[in-house]
Amino acid sequence: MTNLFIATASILSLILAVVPIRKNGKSLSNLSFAWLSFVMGIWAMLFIPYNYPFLFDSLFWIKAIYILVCVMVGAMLFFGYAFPYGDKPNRWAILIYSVLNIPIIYMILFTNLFVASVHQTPTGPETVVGPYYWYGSLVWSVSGLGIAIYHLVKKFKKATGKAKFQLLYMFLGLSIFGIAAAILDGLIPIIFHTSRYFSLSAVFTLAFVGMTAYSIARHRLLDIRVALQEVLVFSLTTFLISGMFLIGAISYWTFTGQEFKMGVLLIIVILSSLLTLIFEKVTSVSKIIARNFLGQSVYDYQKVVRELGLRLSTSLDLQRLIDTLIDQLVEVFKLKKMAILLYDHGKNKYLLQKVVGFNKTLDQIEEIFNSFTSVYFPESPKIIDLEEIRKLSSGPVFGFKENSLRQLATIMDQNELSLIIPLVTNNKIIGIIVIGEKTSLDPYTVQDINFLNTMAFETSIAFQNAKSYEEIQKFNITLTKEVEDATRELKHANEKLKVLDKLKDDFVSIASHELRTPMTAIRSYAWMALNRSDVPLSDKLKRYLIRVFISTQRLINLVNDMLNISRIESGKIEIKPEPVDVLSLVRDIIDEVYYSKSTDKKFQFEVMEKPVPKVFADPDKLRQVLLNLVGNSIKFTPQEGKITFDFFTDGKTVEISIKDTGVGISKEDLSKLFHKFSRLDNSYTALSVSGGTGLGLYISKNLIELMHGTIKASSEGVGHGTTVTITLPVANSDTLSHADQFTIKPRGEVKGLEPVAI
Amino acid sequence: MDNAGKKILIVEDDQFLREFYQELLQEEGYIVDVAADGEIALKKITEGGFSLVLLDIMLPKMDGINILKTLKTSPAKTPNGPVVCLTNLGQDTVIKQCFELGAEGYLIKSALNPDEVLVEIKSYLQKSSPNAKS
Repeated sequence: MTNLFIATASILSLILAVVPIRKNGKSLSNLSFAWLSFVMGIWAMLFIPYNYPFLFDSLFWIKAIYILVCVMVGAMLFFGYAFPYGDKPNRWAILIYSVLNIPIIYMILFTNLFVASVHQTPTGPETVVGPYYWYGSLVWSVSGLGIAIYHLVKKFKKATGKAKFQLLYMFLGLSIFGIAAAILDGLIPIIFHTSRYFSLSAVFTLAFVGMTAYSIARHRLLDIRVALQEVLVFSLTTFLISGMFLIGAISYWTFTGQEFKMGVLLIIVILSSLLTLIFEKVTSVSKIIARNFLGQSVYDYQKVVRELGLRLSTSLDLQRLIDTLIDQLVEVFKLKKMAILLYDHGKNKYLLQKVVGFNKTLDQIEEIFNSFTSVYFPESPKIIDLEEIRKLSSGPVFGFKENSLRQLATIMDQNELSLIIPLVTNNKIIGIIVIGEKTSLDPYTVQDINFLNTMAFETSIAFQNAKSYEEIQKFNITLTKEVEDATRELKHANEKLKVLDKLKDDFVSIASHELRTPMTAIRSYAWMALNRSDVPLSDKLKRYLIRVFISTQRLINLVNDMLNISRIESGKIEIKPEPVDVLSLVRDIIDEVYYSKSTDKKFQFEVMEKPVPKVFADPDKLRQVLLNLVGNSIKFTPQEGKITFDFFTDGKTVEISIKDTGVGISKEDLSKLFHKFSRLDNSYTALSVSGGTGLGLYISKNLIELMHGTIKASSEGVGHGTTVTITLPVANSDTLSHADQFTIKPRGEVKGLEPVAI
Repeated sequence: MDNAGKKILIVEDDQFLREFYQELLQEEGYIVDVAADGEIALKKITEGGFSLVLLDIMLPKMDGINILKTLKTSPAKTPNGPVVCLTNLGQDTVIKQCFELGAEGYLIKSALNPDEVLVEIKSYLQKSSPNAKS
């Protein structure tokens, strides 16, 4: 009975040893577990020939058992360090372990100091331990088991999540086994001098196996479960093969009447398991050989990843990235079928970007992915392998998960998809790559999946970059287009306005000219009637005609002034400044007014002769202003008067003041003086009689300001005359060197000013 | 009358003004010819023989500026006296242009009383033929 347990525990341990190697043979953690499990299995197995000696006597087997204990303790130490993070064992620990165990091995092999002898009794073999047996027990318990458990506990305290549970079960399994072994194989033989319970300790390997199995079942990854499944298949095969051999051997012995030989049976079991293992290895090696022979490349994983990474990271063109990726994967795996889909946020579904080899129409493929990705991927965006899904879903249906897996497997089967690879950035699936079988029909290996994982990661980033870049490009194009459209519209509008402006100008010019022609006729004929009449005019008729004449003159002045204002306000007036001698300009104006005979009033002009610097102004415009001001003074002086010109300078500016002895202005009216149509309450009569327009001062102010000057008026009050003062910049090196700031050059057509009425 | 025998051409499209100047000058003793549009004006000026030409600027068919331009390239058969612009276009830019094209005077109709017009005409005639007076 004990032997049956021993055999089971041993086989299960050996099976457990295969699992992590299949999952990842390079991981130190997995290796340490496999090694411990393997040694434990062999160790337990040796109890069978010890109990039923064959080939050698029990003394030999018990010595073998103890040698294996040395190895097992080493394995425990290794496991204690390496599980589950792959840490390497401390060098000191290895040294101490070796130093402590070498004498034990020596004692076991060459002396009776450790194991003295074995007696066969009816209850089984009885081992007599030597005087140094305690030393071995102590060394093993403390230096091996103790340190291993200590490390597991230490790691357990720090660990989180899955690793914590794994550590807990490993600790429990190892502790139960170790403590049992220490008691049954150490304390009991030393204290009670009996080795009757030796074999029982082998059964306790079941504790370790059970705990490990439970931990795998509950807390390990899905894919290790798949590996476990494979191991079970392996065990079954082994079981079947050895069963067949056993039946054969038993039948042979029964027919020939020979005795059953337990040793042979055991060897059959071991051999058949080895055979299964070798068979699988041989198959895979021959596959590789065949593949090489058939010319299918076995790719260098590192190299391909490096190259692909470089190519993906050096392009921002999405279409080129997709092409690159498809070319590369088709090349590496010798694929016939492949497709890439990218998620479109606008349409809220996956859109097929490129497809190679699939028979389905594009729409169908898109539909398939849009239906199942929404179900499977959001939960765990990992590579979906058809093989894995098939295995997982081949069992009985327990619930939703198995059911949906089965559906997925069916869909993948129907559409000949071997792998579905999600492209994930920022926890969002941006696309999917689907690939069919390899041309060689080989399954995808762990290496392939690792490669595809790395590739998917790099591809996702590259795609995301390309997409962002594309969006920015698109946005730029739209923006440029919009700006262009707006500019074009503005240009169009501007041209339209220019045309309209020109039309308006032309109309104003022509209209005013046309107005002036009949007005000139009225004015001329009125003058003739007054001056060249061949009959004497009554006083009444004379008065009427004078008013016709003055009003016509006023009308003509109005038209001229309005034209000038329109030109000033629309910026059509050119200002060409030059140094102007204001004294001589004033003298010219006095001459002009004096000889124009525009008035029969008696006037006296006085110019306060002073040395003043030249001003920097447009002489034509300044002349217009001065004429207007003198004209005003004449208009607003009833009969006789005097106009005084005075000058003042502070070095930077020159003031020209024109003082008259006219009607003057009330304080309230001063502020209105320079406004358009400024109707001054106290001068209205004078205005209408004199033919004034009320626009002259407004024009003068504008012209002076265009020349960087100022104009102001002052009066002592009604009846006390008016003084108008113009201030203009002096023409010195400073202003002359900045002539461009004083110059005004209209962009469009330049218009001159209409003559002012005096 | 010292004005006798002096031939003056009035180029003016407005009938009232044309007749007004015509009467004004005839009463002063000048021999007056008239032209109501640019083409007739150019024809008459090219024929020549005028002591003075009073030229409006805005004219139908051909404006005064173009007449001045044409006269610069193809002079009159019989030389004329001075060409004086008599117009209502008062802008200094237009005035400058006229002088550049050979006009010797520039009178703004709306700014002058008839007697002033006569004074101006007399002065131009004197300027052009100082010998006639002596």
